[in-house]
Amino acid sequence: MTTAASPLEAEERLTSRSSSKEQARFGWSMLSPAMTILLIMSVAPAIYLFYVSFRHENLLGPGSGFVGLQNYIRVFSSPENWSGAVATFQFVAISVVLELGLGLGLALLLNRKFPETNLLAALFILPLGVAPVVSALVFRVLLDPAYGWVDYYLQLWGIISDPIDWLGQPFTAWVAVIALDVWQWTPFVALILLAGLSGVPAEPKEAAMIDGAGPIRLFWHITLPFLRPFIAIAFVLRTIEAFKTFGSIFVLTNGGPGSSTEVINLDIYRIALQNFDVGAASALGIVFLLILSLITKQLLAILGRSTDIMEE
Amino acid sequence: MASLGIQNVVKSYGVVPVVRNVSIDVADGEFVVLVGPSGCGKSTLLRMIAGLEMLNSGKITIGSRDVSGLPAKSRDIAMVFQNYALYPHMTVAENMSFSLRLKNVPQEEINRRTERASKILGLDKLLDRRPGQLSGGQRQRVAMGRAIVRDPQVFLFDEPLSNLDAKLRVQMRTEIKELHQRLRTTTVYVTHDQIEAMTMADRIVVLHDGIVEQIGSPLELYDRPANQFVAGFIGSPAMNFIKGHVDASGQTFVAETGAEIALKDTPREVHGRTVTLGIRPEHFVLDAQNGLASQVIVVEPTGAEMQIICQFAGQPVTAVFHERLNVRPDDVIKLAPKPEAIHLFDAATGVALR
Repeated sequence: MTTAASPLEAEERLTSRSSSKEQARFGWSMLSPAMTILLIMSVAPAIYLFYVSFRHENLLGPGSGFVGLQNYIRVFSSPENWSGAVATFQFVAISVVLELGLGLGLALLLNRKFPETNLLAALFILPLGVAPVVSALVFRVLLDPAYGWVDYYLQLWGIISDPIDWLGQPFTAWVAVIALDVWQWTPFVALILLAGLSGVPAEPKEAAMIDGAGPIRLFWHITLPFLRPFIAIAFVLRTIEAFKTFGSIFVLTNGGPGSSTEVINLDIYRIALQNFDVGAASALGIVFLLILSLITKQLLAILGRSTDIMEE
Repeated sequence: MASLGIQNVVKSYGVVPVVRNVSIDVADGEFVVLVGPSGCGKSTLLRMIAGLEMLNSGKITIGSRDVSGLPAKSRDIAMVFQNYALYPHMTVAENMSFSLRLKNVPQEEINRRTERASKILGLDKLLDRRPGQLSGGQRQRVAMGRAIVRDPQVFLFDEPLSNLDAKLRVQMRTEIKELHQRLRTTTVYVTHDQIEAMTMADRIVVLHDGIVEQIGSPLELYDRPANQFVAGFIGSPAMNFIKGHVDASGQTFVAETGAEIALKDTPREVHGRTVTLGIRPEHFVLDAQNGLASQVIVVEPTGAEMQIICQFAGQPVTAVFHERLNVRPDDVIKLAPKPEAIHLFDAATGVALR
């Protein structure tokens, strides 16, 4: 073993190097279809959106041209956009909090070891299988003051004397929009938390029982901390999704009455496809995208913190 | 501190009986070890004492209180679990003081008791760590600390050492025993390891298939096992058993192969009876005159002693010698059991005959 690298060894090294290069090339070729689609479907439109946001682009008006920050100035000076932002945050905050609360309750209910719980779980999860647009259409029919079931039964049971025009008043329209979202997405939260609950180990609970904890303190001091990462996951996913809500509100209220339930997404849609002011809509889209990415970053940080606490 | 009474306790899961009519009295300050093979019901019994499982019938008392129907939190006991069962989101100090905080004990008192327990266990430098940052032995100590700060009536240990490596296990064994000598808290300790049982217990309860086989001090169990199961379970390496019968005179045991072993002081009732002879590995001697010729199969020197596995009266047996013998596989040695150390068991029921 005193001789220097023989020609054979050198050749071996060469082939191994070329094979690793080959491997990389193979990897890239496998990735390239997905990358191409991603480029065409997401990256390119985003870049184009950014480009358009600095231009005057009106589908009805005369010619297009570079206008600098004018679109952004218009976005920030429009009171409608500000009210849209407020509506969006209001919608997200109330829906997500309700979904987490109800979802936790539902998960605790379904976590009991009864034979009926499997059937119940299946029933509770049904809303997840309904397309948002479909559930919005059904809600609209249910809430109709003339022939909807909701007003009919409320009157029948003597809770109200005159039918309520749910979608005709700002407050009740909000109730309807949030109720729809909560109805549709609470099972999703419950499902995540149920998975979390089934993973809470028995021993710390038993240790806490022996340490003197009753059911409430057991939940508060042991179960809830173990659930924290799952609550964080549900919170992050629901928050991101809630910001993106469009179809259900579009169908249920179309942002009305007036613009009371007009969240940013509907606002962008109206500017772009009703006013045909694509430049301003692009600018608003870019601003919303930036805000959303900042929020997402914060949410992911929360998620990271809550998961490493439980790591052993 | 208090005595602990277990009276006619029965527990079954569905139709499967797990604990059948068990009665044990643990004196105030006593260290009792429940030992038995897996599935013998020892952990279930411990969990019933803790209040984590309910009894089907029977009674459990702590001091003069009947606790059979009380929830775990009202029994004033502390338990150390096999996998420690620490609260992963709490620091060591928070883990130890959790029970005191639940009882709204004043902060100074909490600090005082946590400090005392952590000093006893050498945890004082780790109080701000979380369980995830501790080694197995340290976690075990925290679990014990959590029990100590409670100052409970009874300590329960559920196989607390089985997740530790061999060296640490021996060390913690000593520590737990030392701790008991210091605190004198009534303790029930569950293990499947008979060496742990022998070294730690004031008294051992041997459980098998949900019944008590024998209760006694470690040496009582070793010297006078009540039946073949206890004889085989207590002691390491295990007792050797040879099937055969006692001759009519009661002077000789005749193995199934026809080999003869001398007996001493046998009771009249065993004369002429079919029995199982039991002899511990350490009770063999080399006897050039009266010994049975036995072919050596394996020699295992451990340094302190030599274990020799050889063919004796038609079956492999283990013999232990403290002197160093120059023996090799296939050698033939003359082996004889000490007549006064021979145990006889009824061949059918396994009950000791003496």
